Amino acid sequence: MSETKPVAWPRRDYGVLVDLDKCNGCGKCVEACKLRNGTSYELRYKTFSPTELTGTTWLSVRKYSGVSTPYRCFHCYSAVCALVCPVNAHIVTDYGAVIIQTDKCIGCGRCAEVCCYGTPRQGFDRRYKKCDLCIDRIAKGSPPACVEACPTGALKFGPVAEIYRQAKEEEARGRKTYGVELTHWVYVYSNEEAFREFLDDVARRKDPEKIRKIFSFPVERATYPPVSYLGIEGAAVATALIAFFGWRQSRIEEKKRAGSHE
Amino acid sequence: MNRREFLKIPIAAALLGLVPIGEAKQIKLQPAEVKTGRSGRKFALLWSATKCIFCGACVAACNAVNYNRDKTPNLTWGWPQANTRLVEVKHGEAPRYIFTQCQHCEEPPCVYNCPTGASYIDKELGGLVLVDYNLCVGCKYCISSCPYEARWVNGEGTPSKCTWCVQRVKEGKLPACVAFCPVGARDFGDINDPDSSIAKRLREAKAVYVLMPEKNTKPRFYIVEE
Amino acid sequence: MFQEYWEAFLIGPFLFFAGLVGMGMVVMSIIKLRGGHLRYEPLLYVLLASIILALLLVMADLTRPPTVMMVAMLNSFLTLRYNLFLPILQGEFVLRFSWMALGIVMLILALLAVAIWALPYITQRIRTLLPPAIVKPLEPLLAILDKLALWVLSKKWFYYAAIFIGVMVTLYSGFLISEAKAVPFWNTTLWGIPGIPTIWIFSATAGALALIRIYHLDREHVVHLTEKYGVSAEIGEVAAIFLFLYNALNSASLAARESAEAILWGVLAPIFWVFVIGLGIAVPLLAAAISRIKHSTKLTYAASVSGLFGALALRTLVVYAGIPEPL
Repeated sequence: MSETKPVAWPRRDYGVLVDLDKCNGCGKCVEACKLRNGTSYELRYKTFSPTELTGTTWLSVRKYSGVSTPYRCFHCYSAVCALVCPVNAHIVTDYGAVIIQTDKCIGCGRCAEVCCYGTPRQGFDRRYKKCDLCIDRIAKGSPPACVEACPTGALKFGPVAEIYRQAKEEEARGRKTYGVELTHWVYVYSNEEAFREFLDDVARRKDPEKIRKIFSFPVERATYPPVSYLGIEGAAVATALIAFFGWRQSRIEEKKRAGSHE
Repeated sequence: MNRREFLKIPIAAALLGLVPIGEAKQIKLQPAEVKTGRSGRKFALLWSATKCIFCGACVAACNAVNYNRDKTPNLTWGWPQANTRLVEVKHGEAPRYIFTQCQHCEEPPCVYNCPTGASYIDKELGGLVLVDYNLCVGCKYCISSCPYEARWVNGEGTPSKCTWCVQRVKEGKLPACVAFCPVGARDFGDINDPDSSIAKRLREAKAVYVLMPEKNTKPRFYIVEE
Repeated sequence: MFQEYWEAFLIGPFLFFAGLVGMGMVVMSIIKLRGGHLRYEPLLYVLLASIILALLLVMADLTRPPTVMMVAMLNSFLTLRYNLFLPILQGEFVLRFSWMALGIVMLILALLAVAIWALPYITQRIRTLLPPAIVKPLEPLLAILDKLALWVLSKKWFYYAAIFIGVMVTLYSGFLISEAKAVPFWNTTLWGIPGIPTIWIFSATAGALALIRIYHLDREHVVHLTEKYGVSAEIGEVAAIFLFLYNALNSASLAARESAEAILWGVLAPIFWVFVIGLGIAVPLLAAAISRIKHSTKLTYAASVSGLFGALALRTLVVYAGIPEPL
């Protein structure tokens, strides 16, 4: 790409607005998510922790200083996870959702290492799983399972431009937001300290050497294009020819002089 | 001076070369003084070593905004197609990792060395160093002129580099790496304006560094510790 | 480890031919001004071929050569105006210009100068070698070219200009890579004086003298003269090379030290010691010493050719050995 062209937000992008002041920590969103992704048996036998993300729990609710905060994949615009996936299993879809195509995933774990918020988790099949924004439900026109299940209306779903507009309106009213023009999962909150605690907990500092190794690859000395070898060989041949003609010239003159002397 | 005395010089030089020499300590990151310009806008970019969590979202954002999420590798750096990269500063007081990109120097060797004027400074836009691809002949002189190795050879043989997302800056937006940092570790703005957020952060920072100031390029990429 | 921006096998030969043309023009002009009789014709053909080859080589390393023809040549002249003359006119006494821009201008001027100098010989060859059917219609054009060339060549200022252009071309070939700030090894100075242009001047002088010697192997006094100055040039060259490498070894930059170590006792050491020092310096010096005692045309010839190959190897090696500054 020799010209940089701006990549506009695709028009089909959808987002979710999370109002922390309305969330009461009931956990119905977590239950709905499990019902939808096929791990409802965990609900029955209570074999999951509602605060931890795992290969089967794609949405969790945590409490920071008394404020219940839903936590799952943010579906960032930058999507580092998708960039580092070696097999292109982790992709950015048209809907703005960043999903892992489980059948292609090889379980290398790069997406989990680079994720700013630490979201992808390894399942029992060694592959990585995370929230996929219920794109199959979106395709049919219904909102994600968690949004539909929320009793207090803390979760709102809609086109991302609409979500950002609503968030900016809340900002004008004095509340704070996180994720506008950054992610597809936008928080609106009043308790700044609690949210800072949340971010510090999930957006943890990583080992720079590991991250550098994930992004970079060793560059071997490139093989020269044939014209390059032609350069030095041509130069050597040209020099030899120059020398040869010089020798020849001198010999001719010498012979001429010897001839004229006789 | 006869030939014998003339020959003593290279012999002495050769013998001197056998004398063991101590290793010079190089400090790549040096404390910097932020200088404001005389007039107009002077853009600068700030990267916070304390706030950065090294997730690489800036790299992915640059790739998404400027290269359309192209995953083919950048062979010059051994890196994805992005204009910012994570390097290990091996030569300094302690090994530390920094994100580095085009420093948009005030005295850029790449602009001075470009034979056709394809690399130029856009003075109206706060002094950004940009490339006009219609004039570029692909001589790669700019790439070998940058002491920060900020330029890389793209698929068409011309140099790609961080442009501070000039297409976004023209619309009043922030560059991609600044806008898409999840923890707000970067900042961008006009340091001639004392009320801009970057000027405030530079004033309040505990320490401000620049890379390799001894090259006399006057870089405008500030690394801060807050 | 080594730089991959510039193909050493294209730029090295380019620098070699540029240096040959540059100092070749200087030496030939000096001899001409002093009234010396040399076989200018074959030498000028060599210089013409060299400068054309140099231009072809440098364009082969560009990734967008067609643009060179159209835009770049013109822009090089224009950027010189902006970066060189305008600041001075505006009162800023800071010389900031692109050596590559200056080099393109100088190479074109050198091409013109050599072409004009060789023009009388070329027109003569055209008249004698081509069949009369083709020559007849061209005769008026050839006559005009002859007149023009002979008029220019009778003036002293042409040779002074040739000396200036030749020196500038050789300096350009050195400054081009010594101003590339990404590779500290190339930036190494000899206590303030840029190192590579100095080495290149000595090496190109030795090469130009070797070239003249090859074309005058039967003329003893020419051989003797070129050998005398050639020895001084080669001694200067080897001194400059070793002082340069000494400064690079002591450099504050790690990349410069690594390059110097690779050249002296590392991966590139065999090429350096055998080709650059052995073929390029030692063999010519030895042959010059031996020819004091016993004259042998074959030895002089072999030594001069070996000197030229050594100069080619020196340039290719220096371009190859550059290491970009690691952070």
